[in-house]
This record gives sequence, C-alpha cells and structure tokens, in this order.
Amino acid sequence: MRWRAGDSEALRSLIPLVYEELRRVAHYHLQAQRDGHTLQSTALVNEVYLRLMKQEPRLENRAHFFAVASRLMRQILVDYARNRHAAKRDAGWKLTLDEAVALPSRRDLDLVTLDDALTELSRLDPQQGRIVELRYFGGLSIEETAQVLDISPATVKRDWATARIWLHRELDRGVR
Amino acid sequence: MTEERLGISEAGRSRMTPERWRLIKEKLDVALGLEASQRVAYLAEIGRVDQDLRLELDSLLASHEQALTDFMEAPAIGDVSATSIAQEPRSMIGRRVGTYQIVEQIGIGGMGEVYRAFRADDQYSKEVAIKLVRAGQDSAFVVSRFKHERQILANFDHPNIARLLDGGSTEEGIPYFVMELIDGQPIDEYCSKLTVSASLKLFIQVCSAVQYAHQHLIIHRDIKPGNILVTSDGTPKLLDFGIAKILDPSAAESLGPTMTLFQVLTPGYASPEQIKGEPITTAADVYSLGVVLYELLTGQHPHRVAGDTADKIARRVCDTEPKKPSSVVRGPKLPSRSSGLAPADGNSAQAARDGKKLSKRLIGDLDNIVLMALRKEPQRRYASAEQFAEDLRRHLENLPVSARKDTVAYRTSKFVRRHKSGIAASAIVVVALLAGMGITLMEKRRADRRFNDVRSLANSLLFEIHDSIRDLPGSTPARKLLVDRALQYLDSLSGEGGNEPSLMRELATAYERVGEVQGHYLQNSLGDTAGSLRSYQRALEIRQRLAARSSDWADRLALAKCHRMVANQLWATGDLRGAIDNIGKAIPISEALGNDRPRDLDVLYELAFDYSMAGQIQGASVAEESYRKAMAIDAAMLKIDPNSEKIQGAYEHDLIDLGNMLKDRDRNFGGALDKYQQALEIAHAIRRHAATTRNVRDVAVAYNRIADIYDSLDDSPHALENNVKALEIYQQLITSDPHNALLQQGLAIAYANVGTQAGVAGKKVQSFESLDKSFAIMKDVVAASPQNLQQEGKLAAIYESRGDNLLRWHEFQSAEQEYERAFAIYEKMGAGASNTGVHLWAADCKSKIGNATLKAGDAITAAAAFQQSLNLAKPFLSSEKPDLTALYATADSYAGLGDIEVRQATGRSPASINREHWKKAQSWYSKSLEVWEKVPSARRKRPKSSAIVADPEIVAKRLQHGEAALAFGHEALQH
Repeated sequence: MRWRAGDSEALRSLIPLVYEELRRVAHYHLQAQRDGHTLQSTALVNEVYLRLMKQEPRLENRAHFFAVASRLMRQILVDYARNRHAAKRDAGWKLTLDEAVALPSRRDLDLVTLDDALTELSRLDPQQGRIVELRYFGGLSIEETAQVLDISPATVKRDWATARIWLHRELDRGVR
Repeated sequence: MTEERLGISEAGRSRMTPERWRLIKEKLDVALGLEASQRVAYLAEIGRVDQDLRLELDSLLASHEQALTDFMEAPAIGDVSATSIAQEPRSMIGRRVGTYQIVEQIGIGGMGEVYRAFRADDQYSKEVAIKLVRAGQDSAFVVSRFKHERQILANFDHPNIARLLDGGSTEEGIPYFVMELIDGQPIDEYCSKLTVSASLKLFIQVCSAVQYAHQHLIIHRDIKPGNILVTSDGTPKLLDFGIAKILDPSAAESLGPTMTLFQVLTPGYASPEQIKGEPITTAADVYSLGVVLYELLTGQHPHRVAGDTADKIARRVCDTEPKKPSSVVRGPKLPSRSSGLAPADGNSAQAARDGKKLSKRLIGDLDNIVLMALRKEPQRRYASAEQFAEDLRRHLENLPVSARKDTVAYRTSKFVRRHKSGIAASAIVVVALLAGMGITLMEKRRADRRFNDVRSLANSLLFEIHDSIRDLPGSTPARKLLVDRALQYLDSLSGEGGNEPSLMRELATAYERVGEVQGHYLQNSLGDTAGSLRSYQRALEIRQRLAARSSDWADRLALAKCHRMVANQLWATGDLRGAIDNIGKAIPISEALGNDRPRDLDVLYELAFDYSMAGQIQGASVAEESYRKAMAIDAAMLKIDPNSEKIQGAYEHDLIDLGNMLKDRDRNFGGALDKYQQALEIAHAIRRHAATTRNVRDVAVAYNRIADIYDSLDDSPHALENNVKALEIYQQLITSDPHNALLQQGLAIAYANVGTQAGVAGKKVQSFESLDKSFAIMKDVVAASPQNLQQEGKLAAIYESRGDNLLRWHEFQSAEQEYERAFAIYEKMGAGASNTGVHLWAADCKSKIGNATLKAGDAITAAAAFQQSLNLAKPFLSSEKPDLTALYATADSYAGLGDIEVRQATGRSPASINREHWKKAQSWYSKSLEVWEKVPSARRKRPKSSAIVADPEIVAKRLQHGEAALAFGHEALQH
C-alpha cells in the first residue's frame, strides 16, 4: 500500500526520533554482539516501529516508516563502519580482550564500500536500490519489501538476486 | 579474475547507464534460471551480438558462483563488526563504586566485567562481586528497573542462589550490580571429575534453585555453566538471577509469557523461543538446564557450538534435533570444549571402553530426560524445573520416569508442519499420517495406560496433528477420521472405569478438546455440532463424578465450565430447555467458587461468562439481570487487572448484550446506541493492541449493532454506512482465513444487512447483489454444518431479506418463493425442538407470504397463509404479556384478510355480495386494530426495512374507508 503525502510529512518531523531510537537499538545490538550474545536482527526495525508506535501514533503508515527506517539504518551502520576505519588508521589494529571471547563473527563485510556501490546501483535502478536498502539494512523479508514498495514479491526476488550479484562483484573490485 | 576481463568490465562500468543495466539485469535473470549447459549456449548467443554484454554477464555470474551463499544473506547489522563500537574501559581497579571499593578484576562476562570489591564503610569489610554492565544500555532505565526488582531479589534466599545485594550506576553512568562473591569453579569443569550419579545430584540442586526463582516470578534467561559455580565444599551457586530481566526493556512484570526482542542471550544455551524472539516462560530456563545437563553428561554441546558463528548455532538450535546423549559418547571422542564426563585422556582402547560404558549408562531414561528438556516447543518440555529434577531423582532411585521418547504421532505431525506448503494438496500424506497414527494407537493400547498417554493424545494428536492439517485443502475427511480414532481410544479408556482422579481429569480434558475440534462455536471446527455436544457431555459426566469426590476448587471450576459448554452446544442445536438447565447448574457452582475466591480471576471470569450466557439463552424477561451481574463482575475484575484484554473483551461483549436488551425490550434506542458506541470504542482499543481475528471481528459486531439502531430509527443512510463498515472488516478478515465458518457467517450477515439497507435507500442493484452474495456464502456454511440449526435459521433470515427486497421492487411472486423457502426451514427447526421462538418466526413469515401472494393476485393462497399465521401465533397471545412478534403477525394477518375482502368487494358482483365483503373486511380490520391496541405504543411503528403489511394508522384508514363504503355504497367511493 502506498502512503499519502500527509503521512510522509508527519513522518518527516519524526525522523530525529526514529533515528535516535534506531541508533540506540543498533548500538545495543552491536554491544551485545561484542559481548558474545546475539540478538534477533531481522525484527529490529519492526521492533523499533512497535516501540515508537506506542508513544507516537503519527507513525501510522507502516510501509512508509520502514522505507525511512531502512534508510536511516543504512546511515547509522555505515557510520559505524566509517568510524571503525578511522579507528584502525588512528590506533592501528588492536585486538581487544572482548574480541577474543566473542563468537567469531561472519565474514567482515566492508560496509563503506558497499554503501558506495549501493549508491551507484540506485543511480542505475532506483527501485533496486530501495529493495537492497529495505532487505539488507531494514531486515525486511521479500514479502514485506514487496508490500512497502507496492510491487510483486516475484519482482523483489528477481531484483534482489541480481542486485546481490552486482554488489558482490563491485565489492570484489573495491577490495582489489 | 584475469587482468583482461577486469579491464573490460571496468570499461563497461564507466559507460554503464540505467538502460544498459536494465538489459544486463534482464539477461542475468534469464541466465540464472538456466541449466549450466543451456547457460553456455545462451551466453554464446549473446556474445555473437554484443560481446561486452557477454563479458559483463560472465563477470557477474562468476561473482555469483564464487560466494553468494551468505553474502548479504542476513541483515546488515550482523555484518558490522562488533568491535567497531568497542570502548576503552577506564581502569576500575582501586575505584569506589557506591559504597564498595574495587580490588581486582575477576572476570569478563557476557555483559561486562566482574570485579572483586569490599564494602568500604563496613567494619567487617564483607567481600562482594561487582558486575559492570556495558551492554550499551540506558543506565537510568537499568537503575529504575533494578529498583523495581530489588524487593523481589532482596528476598531471594536460597542456598544455591548467589544473592544480588545492590545496584546502581557509576559516575560515568555504567550500571552495576553488587552480588554475593562466589569462589568456585564452573559446573562443567567441576563435574568432569565426578561420576554420573554425583553429577546428577549436583544438578538436582541447581534445578531446585531455578524452581525457587520461578516460584518468585523470576526467570533467569541466561543459564549456562559459566553462571553456575560450585564452591569448594561442593555447593552449586547460580549467579546473575534477575539480571537478564532487569536488562530487558520489554520484559513483563509477571511470570507470564513475555514478548521481547532485546533480551540478552547466549546462543548455545538460549532456547529456540528466545532465539526467535517469542514469548519467554520458565520453560526457557528448563531448556537451558537441559543444555547444561547434556554437557555435563556427554562433555559435548547438543548442537556442537564450538567455533561456529552465532547465526549458524541459532539456526541449528531452532531446526535440528540434538542427538541422544548416549549416542554421542559412544563414537570416537570428539574434541570437546568442556571436559565433561567423557573418559579422561588415555590410550584410545581404554577411551572406547569407557565411552561404551558411559553410553550404556545414558541409554534410555537419561536420554529421554535430557531430550525432553531440550524439546523445541516450550509446552512439551518439563512443566517445571521441579519436574525435571523429580525425573532425575526417580532415575537415581530406579523408579520409572515420566519422560518418554517422542511419539510417532508427534514426529509425523512435525513432518506435516515442515512440509506443509509442499504437500498442501496431497491426500496421500494425510492417509499415510493416519496409518502411522493407527500404529501409534495400537502400541499405546498395549502399553500401560497412564494419564500421560491421554495427555499426549489430546496434545500431540489433536492439537498438533489436527491443527497442522486443519488448513490443508481437502483434509476434512482425514480430520474426521482423526477425531473418530481419538474418540474410540478415549471411549475404551473411560470404559475401563478409570477412577484415578488425575486420569479422569486428563480424560475429561481430552473429551473437551475433541468437542472443540468437532464444533466449537468460535473456532474453525469440523462443524459437527451434534458430535461436539456428545463429547462435551462425556466430559461433563466425568467432571461430575470428579467433583462429587473431590473438594478441589479447580475441579468445580472445570465442572462449571463444562456445564456452560454443554449449554452452549445444546443451545446451538435448538434444545433451549437443556441449555437453560445446564447453565442453571453452572451458575451456582461458579457463584459458590466466587464467594470462596473473590479475587481469583479465573473463577470470576467463569462466573461472568455463565451469567452472560444465561442472559443470552434465557430471553428478554430475565436477561437484563444476568447481563448486569456479568458486567458487575467484569468491572470488579478490571479493578484487579485493568489491562487484561480478555476482561476488557468480556466487558465489551456484555455491553453489546445489554445494548441489545435496551433496544429490543425497552425501545431505548438512545441508551442502546450509547452502549454500542462504548463497546465499539473498547473493541477498537483492543484491536489496536492485538489485531487477532476475534478482536477485529468484535469491531464489526459493534458496527453492526450501531447500524441496527439507525435502522430502527429509519435512518437508512447511517444504517447503510455502518453496515458497510462491518462488511469491509469481514471482507478483510476472510481473506486471511477463508475457511473460518464463523467469519463466513459474519460475512454473509454483513452482506445481507448492506443489501437490506441499500434496498431501503433505493439502491436496487447494490441491494440485490449484496443479498445474492450473502446467500451464496451462507448456503455453503449451512451445507458444511447440517446439524447447526442456528446457522440454518440465519439462512432462513437471508431468504426473508431477499423476499423483502423483491417485495420492495414489486416482484411479488419471486418474493413469495423466497418466503416459502424460509418457512420450510422454520418448520424443520420447529419440529421436535423446544425452541418456541421458531414458531413465531414461522408465523411472521406466513403473514409475509400472505402479503406477497395477495399482491401477486392470488387471494385464495393468501387467505390460507394469513390463517396459518394466525394459528401459529395464537399460543403466544394468551399470556398477560403477549409476544410482540406474535402480535405483529396476528395484526398483519387480520389486516391482510381484510384486504382480501376489500378486493372481493370491489369485484363485479352484485351490490349485496359486495356489501357482505365490506362488512367482513370491517370485522378483520377491527380485529387487527384490537391487536394493535395490545402493542405498546412505542412498538407500533416498525422500521422501513421490515416488510410491513400495514401499520395501525393504515389499518385505521382502511377501516374508515370501509365505513364510508358501507354508508354511501361502493359506487360512492369510485369517485
């Protein structure tokens, strides 16, 4: 379902609040991960939505919220990654005690490069870019993504598959 | 990747345009769908036309094959390295935190560091452990939460629980907890030196500590060997009780299930429900205890976690069944994270012998006990830590244990659940499933028949298998067979005259469950109302015997509940007297319980439910008192638990019932509208909170009632508007649950109401279309449940509505046919049933038939119909307060008979004969008006939507008209 102009206005004014909440959640999540715990990551944006809904009924339009929240989540996470890059340069690579006890994390994906590649993909195909944002940063399922964008799940699936391939190749290049 | 290809792709990239990408994307998509050999041909084909495109595709496909298995598979947050937010902790050594002085760091735990400290202002300087929480939490939140929990935790006094002494936040705002300092060894290390029996004894102590906490409404949520330390004197101590909950922003205050995302969990020890973010109960701790015991016994983790990533562990915990403990110690010993009980290092032959010996020790009971604690479904684990411990105790004493292997039935149901989408239409699977179950039942019959069998029957067979196949298309015969088998089994069990109370309770529960599957009025059932009634009656018989012997209040409560269910099913089958009888038995039981337990919500809820149902069954004269009593209890319950959705819902339902009463009995439309609107508000609120089918449906019901008031007020635009709202809700509901009979019925009624109001508002097409849809839906509902006369009555009402609408557009003959169909149903319902209301509907319907046939020009049939209507209504007129419907039908029939005479009087007969007809007409009209005199003045006007034969004013006018005709001669009236 699509949103009306009024909804989008209402949400815009709430962006600082949403951003704050997402940042808090992301931080908590990452901190917990650092400490060897895992948290449910797919429902993250959903949870933020439910939480904010309680205090802010203006967030009525769920689809629009997810679009905005996924974009914000991208900013937040890419910022984290940038900071880390910076930290690496400043302090050299320092192994903390915690990392030793933490469960080995997945292949460390270069979010900064991915962010650039995604920007390029969005230039080539704005819808595909949005799909990646919703799926990967927002943690939405194929069906949820289809709902937010008001397109068929089959389209999302196709676009998601080709986007992943393209981004993977771009990242490969970035590393080299 | 060759230099050359890279170069070309780079070139391709630089001139990439959206158009170009669209083309690449399209071809890539096609290529991905092809077999390897076809793909080669396809790419070659492309290469002949556009070499750049081909190279680009090659590069992308190579990338695809390389590493796409988990690239971007999980959300981004999982890919951000956690170390990116690592903070440099300021050294805490020597610092003062609250009244404590930190001495040294003694550990780094899941959530932060742990320090040894002592109380700085104390003379005897007691040592404590201080845990700093760096889980990125808002410290104000944690501190306020701690204050809230403090009382409970301060009262925690158990020899195996490390006490939580204090909490607060440091000057930097890092929350901390002060705990009893335990000098000990993690339980897995400690047990590696012990025998199996000694380990079990130690573990039983741990269970008792967990049980103690559960009784104090605290779930640990993070039980793992690192949190269970064994002191030098061999006492196990659980650490961190209450901390996980304090740190969990969304944890509820009570022990009830809590739905949360941000809970702290350790992947290897968290239960599947914790990992999935589902509600958490004490069963989560039982699971974690199970993992710990598995490790103590085998030295291995049930899901082999060492070195795996968190998400892989999570997936395995949720999806795969752990191996039997006995089977993992048998094989060659795997390197294990903890040393466990596996044989100590030595030569490999000795190790193998020890492994065999240990395996033998574990096989059977211990396998079953551990795996029972580790079941994926919380409700299938041990109901408590105490029961877990009890089984271990029984094992140590060589007594039979309650843990069993998973049954065939259970495993097949799992199979169905896993492959649900794939096998949706496959009847073969259902048949195979039943064959499997047949075997299970046979085995069970031979086995000892303890109540566990009944329980697993009710739970596994009915809940799991039935529910898993319920929504498969075409599964109805299989479900029926399933129920039949279950009944056979239950009958054979109860036939043996089990007099053991716990068995009887389980049996009654199982019968009730069967009754529910067969035909619960609120759920997607098999629609076998009669069969359902029989099952409930069997349950009732057992409950009665139980209650006669037991003084347990729970047995009496169950008896009242069972009486109410029987009353409901009797009511549905049209046995009003039986229904009144049963609800009349339920009420005194619940009332007595309510006196004994005035704050027990379960008891109060049942009492309110009984009153409310009595109100519905008893009819107008006594209903109001019942509703008011029910609402008074609801209000009392809301005082005890103001946030209970269940109680709010009950209150909402009672508001609706009371509104109905005000409307129907008192014609107090304003009052009724007020009650309905209150109900609508509550329904909306509940729906916002939880949009379950039932809650959403309640909103539609409220709209429907409001529309009904506007109908009574002849405000058809508002009536139509509210009916459309109700219809929209049902349309939306039915898409998500198309086979739900209750929703179908609601949808049919909503369409009928829209059709009627559209008709009154003059919207012909909409009215007929809606009524046709209504009819088509209701017909299917009735066909699916031929025993349910209430539903058939609704079908009759839809026939009547169609008749009314046809009448509005002067299609008299078609209208008559519809009415006749309705009448046939009423006749069927009236035969043999003690539901007297049906005869009234029949009388009313007959007068409508008379009206339609008369207008169609068939005076003879019309006269007969009016006479029948009079006869049907007659028995209801004699009492002091004659029934309103009977009065209407009678007044209408008299007026109709008068109309017939007038018609004949205006024929081409001699004047004298015409005069006789006029006289007769006058007599009928007078009789009609006499009847109208008995109708309370507020009830003399009927809404436009009802197919009115004639209101009293019209009858009075016709009477005057007749007088004039008699005075001046018929001819005088021609002018």
